[in-house]
Amino acid sequence: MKKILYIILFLVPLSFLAQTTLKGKVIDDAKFPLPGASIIIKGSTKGEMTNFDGNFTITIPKTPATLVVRFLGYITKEVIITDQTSITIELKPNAEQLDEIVVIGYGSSAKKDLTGAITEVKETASVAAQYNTVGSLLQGRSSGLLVSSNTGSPGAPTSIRIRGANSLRGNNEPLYVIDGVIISSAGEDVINASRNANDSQQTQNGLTGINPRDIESMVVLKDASATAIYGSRGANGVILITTKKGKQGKAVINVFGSSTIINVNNTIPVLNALDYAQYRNESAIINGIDIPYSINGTDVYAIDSAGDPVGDPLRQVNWQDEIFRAGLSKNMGLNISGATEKSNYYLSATFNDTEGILPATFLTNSNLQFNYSNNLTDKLKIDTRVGLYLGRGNMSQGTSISGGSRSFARQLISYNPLVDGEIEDDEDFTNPFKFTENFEEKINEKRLNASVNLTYKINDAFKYQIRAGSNFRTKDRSRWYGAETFQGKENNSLLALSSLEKTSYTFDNLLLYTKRFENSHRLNATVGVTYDGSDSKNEIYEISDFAINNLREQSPQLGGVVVTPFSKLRFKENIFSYLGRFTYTIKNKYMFNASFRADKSSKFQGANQTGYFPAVSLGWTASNEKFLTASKLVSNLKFRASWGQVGNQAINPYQTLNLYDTSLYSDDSGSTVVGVAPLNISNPDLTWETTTQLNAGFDLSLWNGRLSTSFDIYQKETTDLLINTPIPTSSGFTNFLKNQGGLQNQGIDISFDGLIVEKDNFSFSLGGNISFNKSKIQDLEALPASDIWIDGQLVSTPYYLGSNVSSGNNFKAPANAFIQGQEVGLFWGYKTNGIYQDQPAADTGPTHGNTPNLAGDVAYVDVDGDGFITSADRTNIGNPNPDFTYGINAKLKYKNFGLSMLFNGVEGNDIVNGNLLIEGNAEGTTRNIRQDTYLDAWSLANPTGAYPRVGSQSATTRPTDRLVEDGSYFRLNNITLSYDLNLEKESFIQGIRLYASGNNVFTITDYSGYDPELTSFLYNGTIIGVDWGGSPNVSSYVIGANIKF
Amino acid sequence: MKNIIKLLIATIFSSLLYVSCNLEENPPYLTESSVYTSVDGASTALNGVFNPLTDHFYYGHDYHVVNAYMSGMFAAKVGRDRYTIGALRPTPTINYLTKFWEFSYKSIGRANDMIVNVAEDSGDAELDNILGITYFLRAHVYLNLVRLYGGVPLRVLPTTPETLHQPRASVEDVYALIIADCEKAKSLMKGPGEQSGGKPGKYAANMLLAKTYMTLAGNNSSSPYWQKAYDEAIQVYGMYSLVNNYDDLFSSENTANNNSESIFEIQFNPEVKSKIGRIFTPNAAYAGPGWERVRALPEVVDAHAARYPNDPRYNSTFRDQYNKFGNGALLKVYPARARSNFNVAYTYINKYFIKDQSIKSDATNYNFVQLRYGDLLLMLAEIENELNGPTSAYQYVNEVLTRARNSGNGVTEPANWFGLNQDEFRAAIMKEYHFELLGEGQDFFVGHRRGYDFFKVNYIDVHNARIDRGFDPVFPDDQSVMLIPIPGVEIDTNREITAADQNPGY
Repeated sequence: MKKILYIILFLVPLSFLAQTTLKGKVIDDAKFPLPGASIIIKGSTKGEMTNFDGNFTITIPKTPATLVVRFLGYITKEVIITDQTSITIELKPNAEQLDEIVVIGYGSSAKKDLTGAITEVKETASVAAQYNTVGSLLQGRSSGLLVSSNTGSPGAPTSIRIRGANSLRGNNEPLYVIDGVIISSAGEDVINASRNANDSQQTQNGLTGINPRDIESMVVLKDASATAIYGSRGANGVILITTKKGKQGKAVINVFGSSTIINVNNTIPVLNALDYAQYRNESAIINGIDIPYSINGTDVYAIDSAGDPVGDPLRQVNWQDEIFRAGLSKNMGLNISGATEKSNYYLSATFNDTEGILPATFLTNSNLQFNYSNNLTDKLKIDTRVGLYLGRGNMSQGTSISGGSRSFARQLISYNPLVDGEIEDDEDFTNPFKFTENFEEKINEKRLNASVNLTYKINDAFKYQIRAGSNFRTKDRSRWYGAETFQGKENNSLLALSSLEKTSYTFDNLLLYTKRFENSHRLNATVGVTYDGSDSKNEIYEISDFAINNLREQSPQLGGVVVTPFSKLRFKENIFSYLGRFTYTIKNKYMFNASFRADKSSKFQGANQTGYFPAVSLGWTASNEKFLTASKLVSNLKFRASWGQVGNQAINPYQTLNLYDTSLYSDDSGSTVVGVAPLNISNPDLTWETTTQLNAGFDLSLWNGRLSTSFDIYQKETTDLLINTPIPTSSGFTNFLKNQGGLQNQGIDISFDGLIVEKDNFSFSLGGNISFNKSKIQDLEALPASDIWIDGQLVSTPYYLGSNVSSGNNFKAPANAFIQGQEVGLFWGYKTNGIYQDQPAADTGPTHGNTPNLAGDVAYVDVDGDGFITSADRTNIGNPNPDFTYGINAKLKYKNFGLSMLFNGVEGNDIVNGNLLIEGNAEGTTRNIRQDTYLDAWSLANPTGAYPRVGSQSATTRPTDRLVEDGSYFRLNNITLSYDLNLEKESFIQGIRLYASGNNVFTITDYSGYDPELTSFLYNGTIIGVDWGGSPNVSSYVIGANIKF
Repeated sequence: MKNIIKLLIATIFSSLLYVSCNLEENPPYLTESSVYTSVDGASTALNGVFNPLTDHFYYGHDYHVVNAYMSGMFAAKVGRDRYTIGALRPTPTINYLTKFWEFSYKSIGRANDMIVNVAEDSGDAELDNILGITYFLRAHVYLNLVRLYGGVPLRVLPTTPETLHQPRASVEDVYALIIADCEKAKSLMKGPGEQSGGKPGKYAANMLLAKTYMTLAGNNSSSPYWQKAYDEAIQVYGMYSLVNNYDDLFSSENTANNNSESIFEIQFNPEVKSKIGRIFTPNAAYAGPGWERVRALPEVVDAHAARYPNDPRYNSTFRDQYNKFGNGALLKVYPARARSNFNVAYTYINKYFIKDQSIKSDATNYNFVQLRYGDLLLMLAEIENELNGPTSAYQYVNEVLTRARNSGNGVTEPANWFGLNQDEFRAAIMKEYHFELLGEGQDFFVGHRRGYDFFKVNYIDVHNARIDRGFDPVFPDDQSVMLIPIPGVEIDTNREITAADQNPGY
């Protein structure tokens, strides 16, 4: 202690003697001054800051001295001062900080300069590899997104809605941009070849061709300031996907493989065979017909005409157990990447073989991604990206609209559980086993996504970029109904063939300008002209009456009767645009951003062809203000506000024209003659939907980024909604596309990320997001006001109803209503009040026309009080829109172990479970029903039963509140445990990562159907939140390894 | 440097001007100008008007089911229909009457498109003929609509964005249009011998008009419409001829299709499919899937047997047994078997029963005859009786009865009529329609056109009195049975039709 004191005493005078004053300036690599840089004399606490012009003056007590110069975002520099009196210090930008560049529309931006609502999602390759679609990978990982994904069958689609439905048309999917090429195929598929209106085509993932493992980052653009540069296609939000590139250094080779087991995670509790026999017998007695079964202990026998049991006991089958299997999937591949000073490459090949839970269903696909960039000269850079996808598979049946014997999902639950003899020998052709044997849905898809990007550096400020990108997709689907399926028996086998060949292309010409002015003013500008479009060729053909059945879809020529003549349907669309964006940043504190796009679309006529989409936004980084720079608590605080307009034009081409289609007739010789007929009611006045969005928010980081949070509040208003409204069929048509009405969405997105513990061997981070959105139909002024009942009030308001859910008899009614002043797609139907417990109660209740009520029937509420239950008694019975959606992720690292978990959930939405019309009514038909439906059915002995009496048809056709269920759920979406085996640096194998993972591990929900994530009517805007023959979801468990060379 | 930028910008913008010209749509589809400018085009468009009538939802299936169930003469096999539409209690959401409505208007819409686009004064005989057939088809669709649903929206022009919603027109206005369309059809259409492809000749329009006037005359013997009906029907007389054997009308495609008795016939083939066979045939009776949706009520069968014992038409019309496809087991229903349970209690209709057991699907050539000469002769008999009493009416009905009798082997029934008074003749002829035409899509109209009291006495009361089993449907006894409800979908979507406009009782 004393020694130190002496040293100090000794030094003080010395330093006093050598004291000098140094004047200096701190500049960046572009020679611009850096205000606010700190200069500290090493080994002391003495320091100064540069002023507005980057100048500083510091008194140096002693030379030689070392100055430490720091500025956020730049590499800290040490300068030795000997006898200088003035100095200019140049700082180089920090390369690591430069990684904080975020890809935005037609360019990129430093994260700190962003003023829009943008979320970037990055995930490790081993986690990403467990997701089949890009969309499902985003589930729970970003605020503002509602992701619906059901992985129950291979190739199943995913739907994403960013900040609520923006439009009342079906497809509200965001625009995807992969490495700069616009891909708008999220809801796209081949045209259904089947003329049979009862069978809809299974919706499949349209966003194939990109392997989640090859994704470097995904950026979700949510507000208008971020999306307006995509103009007429930005209204649903934009998801920018950037594929990987190599990192500087020697080549890295990764080899990986994994195996997955999938299992159905839920079954419907139907009556067991014994209870079923009892139910059928009871129903027969009520109807006064002979009972069908004889029950002896636990054996059930068929009965002959004399009423005696015949033959052996019937086989008792639980069809769901019988049919569902565990699926096994394999995934393997490798990637090679690396970079030199001048070039950069990433090559990846993956192979995936997925089995479904239904016999014979599978999807096999391979991806090849090759990214290469090279600085050809000092000025010219080329960047090419090529992705190739091959997929083929056998899929399961889609939602059958009829919901009867045609529907596999229906039969699986409702099929008679009593079979005479072997299941294979069952004479009934609609048996679920026969269906799996006789149904095939083969798909074959090839896709090429390629882009070439040339950047020419004109001078320090200007760059010119030209990009040509193309997405080429072919997809064939063939649907075969063999003779032992319902559809096949009707037609002596039926084959529907569809194919799609679509070429989308993008040409971008961009002029980029980056300039810094004195005093830290930065201007970035982009102007460009783009031309893009697509040409899609569709072919459909359907044939039946097969002379020989066993070649199935391979030989359509064996079919004798043409159901749908071979048809070619071609759609072309083009958009030509001017775009521009200007970003002006002052002193890293104030940001101003404006963008603009003018689109001219081939889909509209005359003056409606062109639309203009402006946006402006402001940002203020408060943490760079003097009063916060010294704060130890706040490391970043930025306020943002934006306004902008975006459009939507995602309708089919040619809607403004009167078109004719072919339709057939026969002549007296039995030959088919071709006819033509009008196809649509043309609407030459069609124009864009326009969405105006306001957004305000802030980003806050505390404790040096240990905790960061982001908050956004927004309001969106869409006008000129393109609604394909159901119109009176007396018009000769069923739908009409028109701009009508407005829609509003308001909401809040919140996300946070916290690094709770950070130690050498142990770290724990927790993140989460939550999003609230409320939609409201603002006006439907094109429709006249009608009197309807909402919440017990008679209201006069314009409204329209959605499409009928089913073409069969059980749900041949709309489930949703679109009412001015209400949320989108409210459930619309009849209110009920339990079951009539006795006949006097039934006699006093309102009747359906002239049909009297019986005790044990469902008691309907006579909303309009006229004594009858008519369509006028329908009212709002539920709301399919969630209150909020959320995701929580946790990451834990201990030594070489890593554990990551992702939970996601939806809260507050209702589901109309249409299946209950069948499963929840002991109607007395041969269809099996749920256990409670029969065991707790009303009867004289059970007058308080929750379900209608056996034989009641009182609630089998209409949507009632008995179908409405809470659709909230909370789910462990993914849990991954990994172990990194670190090997010697010099060894051949550099590292091995082993991991085990579970997807959809558990789901907490009150929903009684297969799964609360519905995909049946995914891209249908007129049927929302309805479960009709939905498919089960699966849980999957993965083990895998990555080996790095 | 600046020059380079200027050059670049100039290049970009000039290239853009070039591509921006390319934003007009040239769809690879037909448009008005490519359809209606030639006889061939208009003829194809006429096939387009026929097309919805061949659909499952029209003469392919739904028409027969709706007509049969609501006629009060048939039982419905399917559980959900049995005590609803099968018991004359349809609901507005029932598929049959919803889709039948939609496809009716689909055909009307296409007819309207033709009528607007093809000039009446083209001077081209074939164009006139096409236009005439189009008017006939439109009138025929409206006549089916107005008789089943009552006053319906009257659409005579192609729908535009401004005319999406139309109110129900009065019944009178609908009939006025039907009459006007038939008059145009009569003047524009060619005669039956000049038509090709199985299209109707102009007398079909006379017959349709006669039916229209008879419906308007109702149960009123002194109505002036009887004379109008006579004036039309008599023009058809002698223009067609009865086939020799009654059974030939149904027994094989060769004799059933486009024969001398056919006046208006919908053409079907394996691609343009009719499901009429399936409606009447049980699943076990042949290789394909049968539905047996429509079976005769016992009083209907009993009445025929009682009226004309050994009428050759009886066996052509009814069937009470069949051999199961595959094992050949004989299955019997009433009257060959006691009515012990629902499945055996009702008789099959033999006319459209699929007799070739090897047929695997419904891919047959059987047409559907909507208007035939036998019907016309009965109409003439009824009209003549209303106008002048039985004296000159016997000749027409006896032509029909003679053919029926001659169809059998040495049978004496049905014997010619004689010695009836006007009321007896009327009662007998109204029954005769069913003996001759049962299941042929006329039963509802025959039973309903004379009004509620007539229907109640002759159908509802007869049926409810005959009920001897708990599973037999009981018919309601109120005015609602006269019409089927306007589809719920139409009321939901049509701003000009509210629940208050629904037909009484629904």
